Amino acid sequence: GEHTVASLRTRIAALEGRAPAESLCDGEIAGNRVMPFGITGLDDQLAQGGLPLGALNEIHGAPQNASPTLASPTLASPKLASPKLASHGVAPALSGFAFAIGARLLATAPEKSMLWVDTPLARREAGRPYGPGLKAFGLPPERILFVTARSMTDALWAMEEGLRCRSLALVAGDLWGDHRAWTMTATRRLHLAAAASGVTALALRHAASPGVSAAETRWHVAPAAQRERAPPQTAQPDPRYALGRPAWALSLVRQRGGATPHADRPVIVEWDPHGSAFIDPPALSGRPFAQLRHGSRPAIGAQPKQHAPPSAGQRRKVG
Amino acid sequence: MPPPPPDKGARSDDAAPALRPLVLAAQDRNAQRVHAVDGAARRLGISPGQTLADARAMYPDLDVRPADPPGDGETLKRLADWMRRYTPLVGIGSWDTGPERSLVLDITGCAHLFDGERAMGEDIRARLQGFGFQATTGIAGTVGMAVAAAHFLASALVEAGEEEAALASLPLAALRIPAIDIAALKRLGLVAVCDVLKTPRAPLTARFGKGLLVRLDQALGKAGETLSPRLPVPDASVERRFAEPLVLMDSIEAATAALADRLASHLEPRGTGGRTFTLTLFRVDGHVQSLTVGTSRPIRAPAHVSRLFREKFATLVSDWDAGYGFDTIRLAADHLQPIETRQIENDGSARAAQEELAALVDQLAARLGPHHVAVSMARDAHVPERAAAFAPALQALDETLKENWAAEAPPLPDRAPTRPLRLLNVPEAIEALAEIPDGPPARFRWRRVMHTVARVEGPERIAPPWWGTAGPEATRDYFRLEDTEGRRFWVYRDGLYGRETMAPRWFMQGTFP
Repeated sequence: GEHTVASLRTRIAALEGRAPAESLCDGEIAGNRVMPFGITGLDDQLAQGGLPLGALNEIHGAPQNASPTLASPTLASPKLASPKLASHGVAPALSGFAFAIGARLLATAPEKSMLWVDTPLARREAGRPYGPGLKAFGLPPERILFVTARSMTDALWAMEEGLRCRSLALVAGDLWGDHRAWTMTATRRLHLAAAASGVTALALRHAASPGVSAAETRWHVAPAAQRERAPPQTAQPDPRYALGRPAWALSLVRQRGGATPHADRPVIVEWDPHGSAFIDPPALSGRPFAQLRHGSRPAIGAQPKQHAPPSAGQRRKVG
Repeated sequence: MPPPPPDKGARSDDAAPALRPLVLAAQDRNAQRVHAVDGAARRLGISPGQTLADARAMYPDLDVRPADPPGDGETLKRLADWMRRYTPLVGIGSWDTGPERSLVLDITGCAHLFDGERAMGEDIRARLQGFGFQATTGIAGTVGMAVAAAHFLASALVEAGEEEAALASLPLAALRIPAIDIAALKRLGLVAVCDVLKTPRAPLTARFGKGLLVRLDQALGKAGETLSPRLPVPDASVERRFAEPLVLMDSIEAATAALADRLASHLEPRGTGGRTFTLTLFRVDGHVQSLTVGTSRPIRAPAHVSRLFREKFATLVSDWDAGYGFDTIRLAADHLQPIETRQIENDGSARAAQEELAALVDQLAARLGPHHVAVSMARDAHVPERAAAFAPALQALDETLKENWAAEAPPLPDRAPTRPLRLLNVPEAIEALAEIPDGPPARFRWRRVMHTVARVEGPERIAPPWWGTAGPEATRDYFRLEDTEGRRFWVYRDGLYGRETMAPRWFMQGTFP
C-alpha cells in the first residue's frame, strides 16, 4: 500500500537523479536541495518548495504576443516579428533573472563562487556582463568567473567542467540560438553532473525553440512593466527614483515530477539588490516610499525644469 | 672547465646532388654576384663573390636561382630550435657574413648522453646531411676555437691545451675578423694566425684596434665569450629519447605522464612548483612542436600537469601532424615558486574551495585559452566603458580581487540599479525623439524596433576627461529608460545641444534587467 508507493517513489527519483521527497527531512540535504524564492506564488507551484538545486534548469524568453512595433509601416509584416527580433527585448530579463538566482545562491553560501559561460555570439547580441552593474545589482563581481567559449560545443563542455567543481554554487550558460549540440543527451549529461556534485546548472536559452530536454524545470521570463504592478499612488514622482526595483514576470512551464497548472499566468516578482532577495510586489503597496515609485505619468516631453529636487513635503524612506 | 661547444658551418642552400651545378645569385655592389655554390660548382672553380657573368662564362650550363637571405634566416632559426634536442643552449653565430652560417651549441655535460663528444659531432653532421645541409662540426673548449675548427679543420676535435697549436696554421679568416682587416693584414705580410701570434701586441692594437686581439684571446681561452642562447633556458626540465619515434597521440600522452612524474620528483626536494609548463616535441625530420600551459598557482602534481596537457592535445586533434614520429620529448617548468605542502581538506573550507576553483581555471584555460577565462576588475575611470575590464583569471584571480571591488558603492535598497547589467561592446546609435535642449527621449528606435518610453530616471552627466587621453570628446547625459513593455535601457545623448553640437546623437550603451 503506502509503503510500496513510497519505496517506488524513492526508486524512481533515484533513477531520475533527483532527491526523493523523504530525504528532505535530513537537515543537511534539505538545505542544499532547493532554493525557496520567498514568493508564495512561486514556491507553491514548485514540487519541492523552491528552485531545485543540483539540477539543470532552463530559462526561455516568454513568447511575445504582440509583434514589436516596427518603425516603417511598409515593413509591417508578420514574418518580421520573429523570435530572434523579439529576443533582443527579452534577453536582459533572462540575464537579470539568472544573475538574481546567482546572487541569492552566493548570499547563502559565502565561500562559493559562480561560473558564467557565454559565446562571442551572445556577447555581440546582448552585450558583455558589466562589473559595476553586477555590483549595483547585489552580485559580488569578485566571486564570478567569466568564460567565453568559441562555440556551443565548447560552452557545454565548460559548463560540464564547472559542474564538477564543488566550490561553485551556480553554473550559468548564456546560450544564443538553436544548435545541434543541444540534444537530449547533452542536457542529460549536464543534469547528471549537477546532481553528482550539488552545483546548480542554469541554461539561458535566448532565441531558441524549446525542445526535449532533461531539465528539472523550465521557465518563461518577461520584463514586467510598471503598469502591471501595484497601482499608482500619487502624481508627482521624484524623477531620480522613477524606475523602482527590477521586476520580471515568471511562468513555470515545465517541471519534472510535477504539474504546471499556472503556466499561462505569470507571477510578477521584484528583486531587492540590497538584500539580494526576491520580493513580492503587492506586499509593499502600503509603504509611503511606494508613492514615489509608482508615479502615474512619465515626466517627459515637458520643460527641462522637471528635474527639480523633491520638495520638503515629500517623505523619502531609505533602507 | 671551459665548455667545449661544437660548431658547424652549414651551407644555407639545400645541397642535394643536382645534375647541373647549382648557384645562388644576389644583387651586390651593382652587379649580380654569386652568393653561394654547391659542391659541383665549387669543383668547377666558381666561388662566392664572383660576378654571375664571369661564372656563366666559365660554365654556361649553370643552374642559377635567386638567393633568399630572409628565408635562409628563418630556416636557420628553425634548425637552431631543432638542435635544442641536444642541449638547450643553442646560439646563432652573429659574425657570419657569407652564405655559410654557424650554429654554436654548448654541450658541457651533455656529451655522455650521445656516446661522447666525437660521436655526438658525427651524429649532428649525419642528421644535418639527411636534412639536405652540408655541414662540418668542430668541437673545442672555446667558441672561437670551435668555429675555427668547424670552418677550417673539417670536423676536428680540439682538446684543451691544444688550441694554440691547432690555431697556428689556420688563415686569419678563422678569427672571425672583418674582411677589410684581413686584407690590410695581408698587405702587411700577415696571412696566418701564427704570424699574428709572433707579432707584438701593442702595434697591432694601435693599428687595428682591440677587436683583432680580443678575437684571438677568445679563441685561445684567455678572454671570455658567452654564448647567448636563442631561447631562454627553462628552470627545470626532463626529457626522454625514443629509439622508435612516437607517432600516436596516445603514446605521446603516456610519455608526457611519465615525464610529469619525473619532473615532480625533481621539484619536490626544492619544495617548488611551476606556473608555466612547456612540452617540446622534436620530430625526426627537423620539425619542432611546442605546447605551453599556464596555471594560476604553482603546481607539480603529475596528474594535474598531464591533465592540463590532455586538454591542450584535445584542441590540436584537427591539425596534428606527426610526420615520421617524434624521437625526443622534453617537459620543462618555468616560473618556479614555492608551494607549501598541506593536506587538502574536503570539508568545504575556504582554502579548499579556492584550490578547487584554481584547478577549474587551469583546466578551462588550457582548453579555451587564457584570455577566455576571465574575472571582471574595477578600474578607476569615470567613463563607463572603461570602469571595468576583464583580466585573465590565471593571473588575476587572487585575494586582491575582493578589495578591488570593495571600493565600489554597495547597492541601495528599493531603487533601480544605476548601472546596467550588460554593456554593449560598442554603443549603438539609436534614433530618438527628444525635447531639446536636454530632455530625455520620448520614443526611440533600436535594432529596427520602436520603443515608447514610459518612465525616465536621470540625467546623469559624464563629462569627457579633461586630461586629454583618447576617449569620448563630448559630454554624455545618461538616462535610464523604461518602455511600455517594461524593458529598461541605458541611453545617452552624445554632446550638449548648443554648447558642443547642434545635432546631438543618441546611443544605446547597456540594458537593465
